[in-house]
Amino acid sequence: MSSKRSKEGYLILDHRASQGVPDEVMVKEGLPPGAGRGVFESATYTCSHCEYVVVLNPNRTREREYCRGCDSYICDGCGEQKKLGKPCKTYAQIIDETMNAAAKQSDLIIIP
Amino acid sequence: MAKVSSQFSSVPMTLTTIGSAAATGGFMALLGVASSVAKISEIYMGGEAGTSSQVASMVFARVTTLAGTPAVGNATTIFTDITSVAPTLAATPGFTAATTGPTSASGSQILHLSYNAYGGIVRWVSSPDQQITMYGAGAYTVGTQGTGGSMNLIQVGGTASTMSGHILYEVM
Repeated sequence: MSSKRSKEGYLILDHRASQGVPDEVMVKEGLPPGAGRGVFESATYTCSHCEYVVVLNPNRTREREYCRGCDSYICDGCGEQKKLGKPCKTYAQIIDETMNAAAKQSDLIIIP
Repeated sequence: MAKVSSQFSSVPMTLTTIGSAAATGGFMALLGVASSVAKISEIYMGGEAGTSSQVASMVFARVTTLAGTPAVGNATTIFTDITSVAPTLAATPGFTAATTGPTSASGSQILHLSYNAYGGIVRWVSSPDQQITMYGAGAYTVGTQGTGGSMNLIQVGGTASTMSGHILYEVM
């Protein structure tokens, strides 16, 4: 049985041998202050709708966008689309549909 | 299913504005192959700035306007398993130069990986079933949830920096 955490990726920023990145740059990218110093490790997840990779900010208090259709966390952008009524469609489904369409097209026999 | 590593060595990155074509060099891109699916599972970068602190804001994005004729440049693409077959057409080859650079429009970014290229390293690994998918040889159209076969690692901010790294992926 899979869990939500089994879908998590991993990000490491290692600045032990470096002066690091100022907080204003990291915060602008949605990471917590201090993420650019020393070693920063965090889980990530890939939005199942658009494949945007979200780095989990441990300081986030807002609810994360979740799609019941595909039982996955999705990015904030796709979450907004979902609230506007866009149906669940995963990126994997789009690839499947494109591949099927291509396969059907190649099966066509043209009779002169 | 072949696992492939596209490595780039000591690439002097060029600052690129999102939505504009990259220069003819100074990026790391993966070239899509027609009817081929590849799943990216790891991106690694190590900074090689020589003398002073250099913040490098990096973006990994889908390509919305394909590059011109690509040149391998400082990239090397190898199968991670021992094989006698060179990964040319079978895999999605990496390249660091082209007659015109690829463009990644706003909204096609997948991952932001900022770090300090003066001694910093950054590594992202996906979970086994949450990789970034590439399909086909076409360009990606933002907003259509369409498919896109080419990917681009570019520097969008900070001081233009030299770096090495790799992108691991599996060709399905």
